[in-house]
Amino acid sequence: MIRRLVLALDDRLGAVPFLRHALRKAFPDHWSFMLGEVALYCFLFILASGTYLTFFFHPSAHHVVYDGTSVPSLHGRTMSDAYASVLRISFETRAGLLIRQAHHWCALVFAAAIIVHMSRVFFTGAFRKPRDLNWTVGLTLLLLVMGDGFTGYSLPDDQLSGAGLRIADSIALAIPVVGSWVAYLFFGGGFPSPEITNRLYAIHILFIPLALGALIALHLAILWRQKHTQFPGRGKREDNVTGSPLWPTYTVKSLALMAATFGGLLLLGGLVEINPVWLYGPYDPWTIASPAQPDWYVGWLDGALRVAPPWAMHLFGHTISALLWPGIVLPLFFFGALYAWPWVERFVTRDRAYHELLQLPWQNPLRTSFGVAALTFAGMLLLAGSDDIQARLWHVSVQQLAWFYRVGVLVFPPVAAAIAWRICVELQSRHAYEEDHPARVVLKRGGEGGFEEEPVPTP
Amino acid sequence: MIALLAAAVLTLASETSAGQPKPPLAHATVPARGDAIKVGGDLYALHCLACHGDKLQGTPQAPGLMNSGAASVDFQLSTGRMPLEVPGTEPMRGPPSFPRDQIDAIIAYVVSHGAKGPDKPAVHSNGDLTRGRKLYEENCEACHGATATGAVAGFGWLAPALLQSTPLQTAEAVRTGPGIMPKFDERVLPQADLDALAAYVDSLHHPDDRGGYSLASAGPVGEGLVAWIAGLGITVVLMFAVGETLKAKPRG
Amino acid sequence: MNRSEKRGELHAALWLGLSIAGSIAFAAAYVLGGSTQAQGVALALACFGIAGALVTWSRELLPHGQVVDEQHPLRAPEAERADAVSRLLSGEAEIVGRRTWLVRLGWSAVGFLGLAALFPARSLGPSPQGQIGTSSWKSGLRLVREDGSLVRAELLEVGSVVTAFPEGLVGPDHAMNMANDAIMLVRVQQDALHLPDARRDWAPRGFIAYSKVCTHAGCPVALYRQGPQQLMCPCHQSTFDVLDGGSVVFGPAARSLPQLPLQIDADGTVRASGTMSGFVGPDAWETSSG
Repeated sequence: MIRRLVLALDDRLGAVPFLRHALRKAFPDHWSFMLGEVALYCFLFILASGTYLTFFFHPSAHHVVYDGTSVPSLHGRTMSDAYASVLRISFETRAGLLIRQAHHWCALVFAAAIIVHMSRVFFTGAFRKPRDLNWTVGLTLLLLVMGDGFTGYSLPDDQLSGAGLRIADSIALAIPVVGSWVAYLFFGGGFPSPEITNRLYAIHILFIPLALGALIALHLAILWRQKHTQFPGRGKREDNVTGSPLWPTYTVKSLALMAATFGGLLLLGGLVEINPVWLYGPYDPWTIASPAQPDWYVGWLDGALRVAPPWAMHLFGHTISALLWPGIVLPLFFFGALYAWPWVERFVTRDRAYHELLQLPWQNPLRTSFGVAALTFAGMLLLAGSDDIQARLWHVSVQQLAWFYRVGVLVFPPVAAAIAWRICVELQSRHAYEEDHPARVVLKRGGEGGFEEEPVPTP
Repeated sequence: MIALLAAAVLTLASETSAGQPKPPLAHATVPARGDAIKVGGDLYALHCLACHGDKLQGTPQAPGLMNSGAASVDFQLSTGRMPLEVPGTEPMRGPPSFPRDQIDAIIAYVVSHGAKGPDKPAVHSNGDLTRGRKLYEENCEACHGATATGAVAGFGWLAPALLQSTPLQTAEAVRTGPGIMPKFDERVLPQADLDALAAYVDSLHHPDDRGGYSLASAGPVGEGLVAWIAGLGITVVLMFAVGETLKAKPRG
Repeated sequence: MNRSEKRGELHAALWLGLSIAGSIAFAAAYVLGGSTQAQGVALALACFGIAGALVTWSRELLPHGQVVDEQHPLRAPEAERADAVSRLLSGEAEIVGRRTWLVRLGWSAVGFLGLAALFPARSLGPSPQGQIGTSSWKSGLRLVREDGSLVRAELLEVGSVVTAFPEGLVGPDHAMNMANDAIMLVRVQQDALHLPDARRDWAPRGFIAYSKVCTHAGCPVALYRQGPQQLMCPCHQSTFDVLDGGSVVFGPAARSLPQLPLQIDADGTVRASGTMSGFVGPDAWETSSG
């Protein structure tokens, strides 16, 4: 069977040379190289579970009166068809709630997996030439996943998704000169336009998944062409890649990871409740629940909105909204810096060479400090985004906590960067010392009863 | 002197029973009205007078009680908010310090001394849940949260969780507006609406968590934590286990 | 077959058995209408079983050989690179030649096509002109609650609050109006107010109304702090002073809450006596303070 398939394909495509090469392609064995695969398998899972959900979801703002019995406190309530269909998916479709929850969990894990994968790539210098190209593809994938997550979060037309859209609308309005046109054209009018659910749906299930699929294919194609990087070690050089062969060892390993990822997402989907829209209620634009947060991958933006100073400006009869700084300028700068970093680093270090061997974080204090600062900055913003929950937990004033984060967002990143720099330099000198002073010694008793160290030459 | 002794004995009695509020006593055992006022007066003198004043007039530390009434006093005492351990702090829910009959006695004392706030509201069961939910979403969830688990109310204040609030206590709070909460009297919230609201808040005591473990209703923040710790964390550990145990051994 | 291989096969078989059991359990849970938890655990087991089997397989039954790939240089030899570049350039020269004006015209045509393509985008929504920051409030409109019932003065005592809308613009068909027209009507002690002089009679008998739409990011400022007389937005904690005209006390909002001037008829009907004092909702290019 396999024999005939291979031969038939070779007859028509000349596939055998590629296959022969592909089957024994080397995949490095370090565990951290599998982080990207988790993201890839999340994509497969989210695609499959999402497809199932499209069969039941109604992307419509059309009003219906809920006549179901699953949520007694909503009986007789007027709500959008979208929200009602999510209730049906959750309560009247067998396995619907499981798939819905697993789908949502997958979005959260997907974004987290990408960020950890990118951190690995960043801190080991895997993004250096020639992989700077794939770094930009990966960063775009992260942005697309965040966009797909936010549009998905906004679909059920529950209280939280409505509040999130209202804030998104406000950010669009904050764009200078054309903001209100952007908002009106995107939303199909003022807020809350009945058009928006349908548009978000097209973006959520068509445009972004297509773009994701295409860019993931590109990401993998570039990876295939450029081959993997590897950590330095015995037998590992700039001009080779060492690892398990794709067939059979790595295939089995990777399939195991896929099955485990699916299992984990299904376990979360079954056991831990996520986005219980029936508890939040259908969206009425004049009501709001406290606390109100977005999913975590947007949380940093919400945090930025919370701690940003009220700096609105008035110029020649026009207004520059205070939302411009945290809502638009800050994300542009943050992601701009991440896009530009491979070239910035090349410019600063004047290192234009190819790099196939990875560095350990301590070997490059500049990069590591920048990465630590960026992560600290985003992390502080993310924490600021849940300041009200922390205030309740610790019983402090949310206003004081907001001030703490206002200062902390600016102070902690440079402090963290300085600490990271210090640790890197410390480790560098320790390694230099160890190279000069081999660690292995033999104690020999001296003539007068003392001991003497005698280094053992390293093999 | 005798009054003080009696009060001290009563205090002892109340302290031993603190934490386990007694069930309401049968009508037959409730002391006659005059006695109740006297007992209540002694309790007031011991636990309330220092802050609220001997004529309910209030002190710099605490407001007067002339505008309070049975509903307010019952709410503050039956939810354990009063007496306050540290005057000037936000009262928090706790085990009541007095058994039911003593609370009633204090109410009788306060009301007989001129407090003219609302009486204990009536609450009927079987309020309309849909109506109650609508009212809750418009008036309550901005502070107490969609699932009544409580939230911050600004500048150090907390809007408490309502998960232990009995329908009567809910109604009392709605009618009297304790702390910085606004009040909703029968003109703005008629009896049927009050019943509906109390019924809905009561239904939130057993939230419909069909999706699984509810993460203390912390919403997307709790979900984010779980995604990182359980979702990705476990996957990374697994990857480490799989990756390291399956590491190819150098040939030869 | 040696002992360790036998053990490996046994382990893999157990894992696969677990997986099959999980799948069957899921089918059963589905057919019997089992809980989401039962379905999730069963299906997760089915996946974990396969994962476990593959790990066992890989660890105990597969050879652990390592392969080494050569990392060939990606860049082509210099001669080939130069040739590719020159081919591109010579082709370009053939296309352009001396016809630079024609090329410019060609690019213009493409540009015009792009502009033409923008026109359908205009259909995506109505013009925002004159819409930003407006509400339906105007002088004389009576206040109603969300269910359409009239707001009367005797409704509110000091310390009470209701959400109100203009009469005739409530209900599911007016969601967009309700989103921007919602006001917080609170009643405070009249002598506690310290409004600007121009607004002295905007709050008769202590009835005072502010837009419920936060001037920061549009969330409802639904959190009324009755003692300190503040309105707070639960989304980003912007806090506004009820007593002095809705000024910002704390938070990221840059602009006061718009106030709605009120009048109370002799029969107790509460009406708007003018329009909102400022732009409703978040700032935009058009919401100038002047």
